[in-house]
Parts: sequence; C-alpha cells; structure tokens
Amino acid sequence: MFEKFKELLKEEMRCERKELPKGIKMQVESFNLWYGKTQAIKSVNMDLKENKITAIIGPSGCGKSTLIRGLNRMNDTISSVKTEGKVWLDGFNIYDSTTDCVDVRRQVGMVFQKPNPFPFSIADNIYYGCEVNGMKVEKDEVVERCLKQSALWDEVKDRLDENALSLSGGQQQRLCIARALATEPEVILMDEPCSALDPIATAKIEDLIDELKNHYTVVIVTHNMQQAARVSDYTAYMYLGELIEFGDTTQIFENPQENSTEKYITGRFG
Amino acid sequence: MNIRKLISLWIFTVSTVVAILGFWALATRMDVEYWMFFVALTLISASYYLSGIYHHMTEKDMNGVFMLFYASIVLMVAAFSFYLPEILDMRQWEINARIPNFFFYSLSMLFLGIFSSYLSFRPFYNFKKEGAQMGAYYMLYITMIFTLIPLFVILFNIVYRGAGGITWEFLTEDIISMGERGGVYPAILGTLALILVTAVIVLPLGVGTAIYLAEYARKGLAVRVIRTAVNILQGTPSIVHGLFGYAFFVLILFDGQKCLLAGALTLAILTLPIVIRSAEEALNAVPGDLRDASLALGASKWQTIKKVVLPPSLPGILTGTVLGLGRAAGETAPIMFTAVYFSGAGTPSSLLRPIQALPYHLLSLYRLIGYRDVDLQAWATALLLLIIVLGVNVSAIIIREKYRQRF
Amino acid sequence: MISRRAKDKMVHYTFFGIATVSVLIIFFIFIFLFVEAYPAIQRFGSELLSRDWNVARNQFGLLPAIFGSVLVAVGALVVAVPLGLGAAIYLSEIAPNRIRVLLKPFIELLAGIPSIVYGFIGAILLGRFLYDTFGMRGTNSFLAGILVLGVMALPIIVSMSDDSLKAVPKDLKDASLALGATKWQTIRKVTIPAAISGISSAVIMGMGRAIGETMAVMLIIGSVMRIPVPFFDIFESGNTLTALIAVQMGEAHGIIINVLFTAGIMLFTIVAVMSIISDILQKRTTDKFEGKR
Repeated sequence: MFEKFKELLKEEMRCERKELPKGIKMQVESFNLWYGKTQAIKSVNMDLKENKITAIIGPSGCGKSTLIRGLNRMNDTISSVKTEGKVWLDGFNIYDSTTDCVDVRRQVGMVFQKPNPFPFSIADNIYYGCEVNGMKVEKDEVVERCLKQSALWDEVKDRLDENALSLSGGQQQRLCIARALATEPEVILMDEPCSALDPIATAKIEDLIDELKNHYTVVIVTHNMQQAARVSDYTAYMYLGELIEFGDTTQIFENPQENSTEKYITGRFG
Repeated sequence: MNIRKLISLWIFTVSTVVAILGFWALATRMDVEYWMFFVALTLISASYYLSGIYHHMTEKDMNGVFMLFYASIVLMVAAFSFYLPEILDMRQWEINARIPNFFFYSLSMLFLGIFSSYLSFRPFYNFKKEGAQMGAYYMLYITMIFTLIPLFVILFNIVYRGAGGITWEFLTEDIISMGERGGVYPAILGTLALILVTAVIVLPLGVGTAIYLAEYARKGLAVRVIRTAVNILQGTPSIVHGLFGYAFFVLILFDGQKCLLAGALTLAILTLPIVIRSAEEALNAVPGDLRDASLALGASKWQTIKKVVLPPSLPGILTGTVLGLGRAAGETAPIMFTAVYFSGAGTPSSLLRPIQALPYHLLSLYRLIGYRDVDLQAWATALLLLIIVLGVNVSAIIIREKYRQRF
Repeated sequence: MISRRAKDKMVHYTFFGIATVSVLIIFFIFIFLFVEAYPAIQRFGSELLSRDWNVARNQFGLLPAIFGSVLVAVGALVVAVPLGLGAAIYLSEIAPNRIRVLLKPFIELLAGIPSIVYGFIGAILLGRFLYDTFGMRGTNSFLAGILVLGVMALPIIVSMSDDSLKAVPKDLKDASLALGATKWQTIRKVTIPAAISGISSAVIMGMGRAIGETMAVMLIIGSVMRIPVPFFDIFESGNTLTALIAVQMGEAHGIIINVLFTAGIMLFTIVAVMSIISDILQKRTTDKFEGKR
C-alpha cells in the first residue's frame, strides 16, 4: 500500500536512451507478448530501416498483426496483454514505464485492415489527429497536404464537407492513410491495408505506399506474397510467433535460407 | 518526492472529505454552522492557492494563474455566504419554500468538493492530456455512484423496515381489522392467479403473432405499420390500459362487475407488445443461412421453423415473456378499476369474481397510514411485492444468461 | 394423413389468424379510445384546454394536468440524463468486465421495481424529507415527483445508452487511439458522436416513461388541479394527466369518463410521437455504421 503510494508520487525519471546505428529507425529487441497465458510473440529481434518499406509475411495466426500492433502499443487496449522486451524508436524505448503510449501513437501512425473512417466529414476526419494532439495548424492546409500526399485530392477536393462514409472502399482506405499522415508521424504501420479492396484500388494503394517511403518509414503486414515482393525493400517471415527469417526482399524470395520460408513462399503450406 | 503531485493529492483528499461531509449533512439534514462551512471551503481554497503558487514558481505558465483564480472563487463563495439569512423565506417571491441556510452550506460543500477534487487531477498530471482523462473518469465514477445510491436507499429501507412484518400469520391469513392485523394470503394468491391467467391469454397470441411477423409476413408497409402500432401500444401508459379495461371489459363486457378475467385481459393487452417484440427479436437473431440450409435439405417451412428456428430462440422468447409477466405482476393502475378489492374478495375462486392483489393492497394500506396502525404491514407488503417481482426478473435474467445462444 | 404441403399451408393460415387477432385487438384499442373521447371533445371542444377544472360546475380544463405532466417529465430528465449518461459511459467504456457484469443486471433490476413501491417510498421518505428541509405547506410537491421520476427513468437511460455506446464498432475507437488520442478524447469525440442517435432515443424513452408513470406520481404530487404561480414553483403540489385519470376514475360516471378518455388520448399521442421519433433515431444509428448516409 505504502509502496504504491510512493510509486504514485515518484518524480518522473529520465527515459532510458540508446543510440541506434545510422539508417535504422526502429529496433525491436527480444520482444515477447502474451494474450493471457498464450504466448503470441516469441523473442523477436528486428531492425526497421529508415525510409524503406518492410513487409511482414506469414500464415494466418502467426502473430504478424500482433507484432505490428506492438510497434505503436495498440495492444495496450486489450487488457489481457502482457509484454516483455524493448522497442526502440529514435533511441527511446516505447515500452519504457515513463513513455506515454499516447505520444508514441502520434509518432507511429497506423492504417487498419478494414477502412475505418469516422462518420464525420472528409476534412474533419483528417483534422481529427491534429485536434486531439493539440497541434496548432491551419485546418485547410493540413487537409490539402494530406489529401495530396495520399493522391486523393483530385477526387474529393469539391466535397470535403461530405460524410467520409460516402466514399468508395478504396477511397476510404486512402483517406485513412491521409488521416494517419496528418499527425506528422515518422513511421507508418499498415495492417493488411488492401485485404478488403478490389485489385484496382489495391494497385492505387500500392503506388501510394511506394510514394510514401520518400518521407516515412513504412511497415506493412500482408498475406499476399506478390504484394510483399512488389512493394517492399525488406521482408520478414514469421511462423507461430517466431521471426524465422528477415532480409532483403529479393534475397528472401529468390534465395530463402530457411526451409520453412521456402515452403511458404512456394505455396506448399499456409 | 514530487511536491506538485503531493500538493495535488492533498487537494484531492481535502475536497473529497468536504464533499462526503456535505453529502452526509444533506442526507441527515444536519445543521451545518457557518464556521464549519467557512473552514471547509477555506481549506480547499488555501490548497489551491498553494498549488497555484508552486506551479507558477516552477512552470511559469497560465495554468498557475488559473488555479489562483479558482481558489479565489471558492474563497469568495465562502465569504459571501456569510450574508445568507438563517432561513431564506422564498414566500416573498410567492415560492412555497423556506430554505434554511444549512441546506445551502451542505449543498455547496457537496458540489464544490466534487468539483475541486475533479480539478485536482490537472495539476497532478501537470496539465497534460492524461489529467483531463483521469478527471473525466473520476466524474464518471461519481455519476455511477449517484446512480446506485437510490437503489441502495430503496432496497435498504424496504428490507430494514419490512422484514419484521413478514411472519407466518402475515403470509397465511386474510386481512383483519383493516390491515392492522392479519395478512395478505388472498392477495398473494390473487396476484399469482392474475399472472397465470394473463400468461395463458398472452402467450399463444404474442408468440404466434411474432412467428407470423418474423417468419411468414413479407417485409412491406403492412408489417411496418403493425410494428409501429406494437411499439406505440408498448409505450402507452399503463393507466390508459386501465382506463380501456374499465370502460370496455368492466362496463361493457361484464356489466359493471370487477373480476379476475377483466384484470387478466387488461394485463394481457399490456404485456402483448412486450411478448411480441422480444419473441420477434429472438426469432430474428437466428441467422437466415440456417433456414436456407434446412429448406435446401427438403424440409417444409413449418418443419424448418419447428426444428431449426424455434429451439435456439426459445430462451429469448421465454425471457421476454417472463419479464413482461414480471412487469404485469407489479402493476397497479391497470387492475385497480378492473379486478381488485382491498378486502372481502377472498381467495380467487372464479374467473368472474373479483380478487385481492398485492400492489393494490399496498396502495390501500398506504392510504390508511395515519388513520390506522398499518405501517409495518405496508412495509412488509412492499417487501413481499419486491421479492416476487424481482424474483421473476432474476429468473428471466438467469434464463437469458444460461441459455444464451451465439451464432 | 394430410400431405406435408397441406399441413404447411394450414400452419401458415393458423399463424396468420393469430396475428390478425392481435393486430385487430391493437387497432380496436386505438379506435375505442378515440370513440370514447369523442363525446367530450364534441361537447367541450377547446374548453378542454383551459385551466379551469371544477367537476361540480362541469368545467373540465385539462391544462393544469398537461402542464404538470410536462413539468415533471422535463424535470426528471434534468435529474436523470447527466447521471444516466455518465453511468452508461462508465459501464460501457471504462468499467472492468467483472464490475460491468455485476452492475448491468443490477441497473436492470432498478427498472423492475414496481411503480407503486417507488410511490410508497417516495411519499413516505422523500416527501417527508423535502417537507422537513424546505418547510413547504405539505408533503406533496412537484419536486418529489421530479426526483422519483428521475430515479425511475435512470435505468432505461443507462441501459439503452450503454447498448448504443457498446454498438459503436471497435474499428473506430482503434482508429482514434492510433492517431494519438487518449481514451477519454476517443470517447468524447468519436464514441459519443457516433452513438448520439441511440443516446437521444434512450433519453426520449426515459421521458416517455416519466410521462406515462402513474402510481408513483399519484401518491407524491398531490392531485391538485392548479398551475403553480410562478409556474416554476416546484415546491407546490399539482397534478399530471396520468394521476388525474387514476384519481378520478374511481368515482367517474357519465361525461367525466369521456373527459378522462380525452386525457388518455393526449397521453397516448405524446407517447406515440416520442416512440416514432425514437424508432427513427435508432434506425439512423444502424444505417450510419452500414455505410448509408
């Protein structure tokens, strides 16, 4: 009881720091995660390079979505989740007890599997992130910048006040990407962003992802191996919560080192 | 040690204590003296001054000024309350109340206490987003507590005052000398008979209608109109049902004679929409694929309904019906002019004879309070009625939780 | 042995017959109310909306009762909406699961307490308490009615708002959290706006319950056919449409019954309008999340 009280009144400590090698934006260090008693992520180590696209592939239920949600502490919203290990972002550990997970999520944006725009107007959707983070920015400017960056500006510039749910599925997903860009993140996580879309919308999103890497570090989870091969610079293969292989995309697809990776890529299971 | 957090915690403690004292004083109509009120508010104010000055010294932003401002307001409220008269006679403005000053004192202690503890989360988290969040959570806890308080007050009072009246005599005797002695045996039986007859009338009618609406009717204008009519009937005040029951069943059908059947018919009309709606909901919760699968195997429509649709929706239908009957058991307005007498009706013997029932018994005893010594009997009747009605509701909830189907 | 086809047809017609009976009963009630109210409307016309009620002089102005119904219902909402919404948000968004499963049935039980019990307790404890505190002329008052009806409307508001808050898709909340919003910002800016139609529908249903409540109000409001002066004097006693019917019906005969039916029609119309609005609002909620505008 008294210990808890002292904990509550503790002076904020300085966060633990670590210099990352040049060109590395995020580093996952022996990261473990449990849902209740089941371990979903087993000591994963991974480096995410700056301004590159890293794809995470693997069969369903291998923990790839869980891992990517671990990179901006979205797993904190589930009460049964326990984590262990460190995730470094620019030298700060985002799992440090002094780190505010809300701050982390501003710096690490996320796009979800199903397009999930808010039932507000298009402009309000984009401005939302700035509003909740108290960023002092001109609304019109942010909206225009983000919509242009996500190649949606020409399609919607005349109806910014319309409800976002009136857009098509592909447009909604690009709006979600635009919305994630508004808080000026450094890393963007995409959790199977094209799984609910048709091939044409998918192609547009893939082009967009390729554009984004000039300004951001992108991590994308996909169950579509062609997509991983098309868009990514680096690929990670996960199986049953473990990171089996991680490397250059061309190397992974043309010359996989592990037996299991080869089996998955050639379509023999998964 | 972090001094900012320590001061905030101090503010929170002081304010909460003041709020609790204010609530206690309000509930017990304690005669709060001016000096107690003044000390309490000055304490809060001083803590906020302290916090504001410390914040201004360390951070030098506007938030410190904001806290000083709030502290001054609290101090001003404390100071100006000195001029409240001992009893504020509102009759000078033609309002029928004479409000004593301690009422204002305890009320402002309650509200200022809660508000001050709410604000104390901001300095604790150094005016970050998290402070607003924790403050809001705190207010939500408070509303939850205030929502639960009436429930506890009601349950406590009924159990505390009524339990002594529930004796063997009370449960097995008829009324003796206008309810001063004796009990409620005929009224218990009357209420049970009323529910039973109502169930017999409403079950086939309600469930049958729901099956037709959910399974057979084509979704068109007619069904929409029927559904709206059912909704409106469900929202109609029970006294309107009573009025209808009196004018139609009693005056026209039964020639001015109150009777069990008239009451049950009125209650059946009251519960009909509840049964229809809950049964329809339960039927609609069964996915269409299951029906298609059964039909594709060559089953007829009735076989499909009987074997595939009804079994999983039965708990839902039952829950709705039981809840409806529970409501009917506690209703007074629909039966008081259609079925019940306070005394003399005896145990129910025929559908065409009047009965006694618990809710009306409680009403009649309430009217006798002050003229006759029936207090204990009245509280005991309230307790018994509560046990019966809540017992019915609890069994409905148990049915729902136990047999809940997930598709 | 009848063929399966014939049996199927027979069952179909049986259910059709039952449904027809139910529907006829419902519409018969509606028509009966209007037929019974008609003589009074025909005879007194707009006098029914005047403020003078005197049975001996055949004056049947319902305005005081209408005023009372509206006053207690609005007052009850002022009490119940802030508390009920707070509790609903707490239950649906913040409470740990084990507390939620404990409290939700508890709140539903609050709705199950018979109104006569509320009235009994309200009259004996609350009426007395207010009388002692405020030094009023009697134990009956609008204020007591407002407080008791507020408590009675709470469970409906809590339980329906909780349902509609729970119905907001988790996707939306996740999207907001992922943009760096706190949980409270998410609740305030995404969850509540998304559930607003459901919440308004809950508030309307709560008001419907307050307007339609009879026994509790009858015991604590005093059954005095008078509009208080000034009209916001909630320490006075008064009357509502429901209490008027309940009190007068006992000795009613002749034209009074028709007047009471007119009061019934008024109640019925108010509640019907509210239930239709509430339905429309609820439909809008479902439409919103299915992507229609």
